[in-house]
Amino acid sequence: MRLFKHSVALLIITLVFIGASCQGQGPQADRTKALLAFGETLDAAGQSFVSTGKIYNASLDAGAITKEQYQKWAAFARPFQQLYPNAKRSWDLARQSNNVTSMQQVQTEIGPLLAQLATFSLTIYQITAKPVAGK
Amino acid sequence: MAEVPPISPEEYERLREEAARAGFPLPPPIHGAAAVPLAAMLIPMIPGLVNAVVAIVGAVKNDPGVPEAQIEKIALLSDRLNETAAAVAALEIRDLPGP
Repeated sequence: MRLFKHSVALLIITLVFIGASCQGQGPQADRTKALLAFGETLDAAGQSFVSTGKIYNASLDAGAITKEQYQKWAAFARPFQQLYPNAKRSWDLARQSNNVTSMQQVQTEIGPLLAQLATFSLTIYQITAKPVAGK
Repeated sequence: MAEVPPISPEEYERLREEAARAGFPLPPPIHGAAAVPLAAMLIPMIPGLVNAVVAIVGAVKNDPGVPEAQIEKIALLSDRLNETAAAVAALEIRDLPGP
């Protein structure tokens, strides 16, 4: 259930993130809001990533998923894990320089990953929920 | 969460199409008992999702200036992001040998 809530939170924040990215070039107030929106997006995405990854690991240990299912997750998770510190640095830089334009490239890169992450979260939820639902 | 009656496969399919148009693909319908809890939890969330987005975007648009509260929020967010980034880096991703 916690994972499901994270997925929903991620979807909400992704929507806000999309809205915020459209208005990042305005006056100071808009820049601050864009910074907040992108930071919250990153935080929610990171937490959702960690929760999802822990469940994939536990599911693999329990034999609830196949090696191939885990490999798909791993193929997604490794680039995400590498990109995340870059996204965080970009946010820090934008915060320090008061210039959100430096976040734009990362926003472009991380956008599709957020959608994929939500899909992985829902997929593992579906898999792990099956035995309970089948009772 | 309140009890929600099961929905029909057709209704789920319709909502799935709506979600896809909004850019959030939902998983394909699962026939059988597993379909009910997932759909039953997802469906009531949709109006809430819309309301949350409208509320947040509205608040952002109507909030004039850069209040101190926002500066403090950013500082707190920075701390949280540091913790989250550490957790992301620490997550174990297993390297399984190929087939």
